[in-house]
Amino acid sequence: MNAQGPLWPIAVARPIIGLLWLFSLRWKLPPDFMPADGRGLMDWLQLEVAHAAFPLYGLFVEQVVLPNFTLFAWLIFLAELAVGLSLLTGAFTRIGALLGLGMALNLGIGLLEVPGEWPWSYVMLAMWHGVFFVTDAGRAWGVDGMRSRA
Amino acid sequence: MNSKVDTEDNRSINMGQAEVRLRQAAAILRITVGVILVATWFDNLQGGIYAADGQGIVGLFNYLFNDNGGGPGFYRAIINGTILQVPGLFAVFQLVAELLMGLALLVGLFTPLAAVGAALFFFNLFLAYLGGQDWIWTYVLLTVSALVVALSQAGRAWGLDVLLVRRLGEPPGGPIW
Repeated sequence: MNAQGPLWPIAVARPIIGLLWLFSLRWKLPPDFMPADGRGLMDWLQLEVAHAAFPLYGLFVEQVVLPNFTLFAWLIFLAELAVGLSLLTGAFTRIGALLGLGMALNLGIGLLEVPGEWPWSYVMLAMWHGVFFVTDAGRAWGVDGMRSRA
Repeated sequence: MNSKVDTEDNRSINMGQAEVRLRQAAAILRITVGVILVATWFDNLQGGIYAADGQGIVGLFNYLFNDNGGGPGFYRAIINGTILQVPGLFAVFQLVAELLMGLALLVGLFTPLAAVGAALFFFNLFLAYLGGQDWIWTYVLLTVSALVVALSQAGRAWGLDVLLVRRLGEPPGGPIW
């Protein structure tokens, strides 16, 4: 029985999920981290406080993140940019995937009880980053693959 | 010389382990998509979505077309000309198909077939919710996941497709397991 699997389908999914992160930057662009219309990063953080599934998490966002919004907004923006570019290009994929996994879990925990959110979205997102990490998905059609062959 | 051979052997063993890990990773994708389908099926059943009335299929498309996206014009035309002409029939079809796809993916039986069906179903949702308030990437994630499961023949790790391959060999009419 052939228990081996090809990497290419996962390698095709990698840049698509990279684009997901890059598109998500549209509503948290510096300097104000707000889109022209609709909800911005601050609004989402306030929703996480108002509908916290885990009181400790809501307290952390309220007491630590919101008072230092600019610092955390830059951290979130740069982290999402890094994950997006890493997955899009397949460069340092395992690091990007690990960072993305943490961010997906953070989103899932923070938005679990926010009305209108579908928790399975974040389960899928977290799982994909786990898959990219385990399979080292930048080996196929990625900068990681080119670097290892050079 | 010997150490070089050893190194090459180790590399090929590692490559084999990596490839097995690939199919196991795809199996995790498969099981997750299966769980999502079955859990959503149960929620929909409780919520009366699999009915032909205003609370069910007709109500859902009314909501989508009037208040939340509804997708491009050609998609609306197709839905209006097909599903909404026979909502009762489609409600039963969806009730059965969603459950079968979910169970097949969960246990890894006829995985490529079930996953292609799921991908089409998710792409349909993508079109339906396009332009609305929902986070459209949810449907991209689901569609891509189902396609990767299909292309990876993910039922051959931790799935019943393993038994089919062992008993019947490779499928003669295309990769249906």
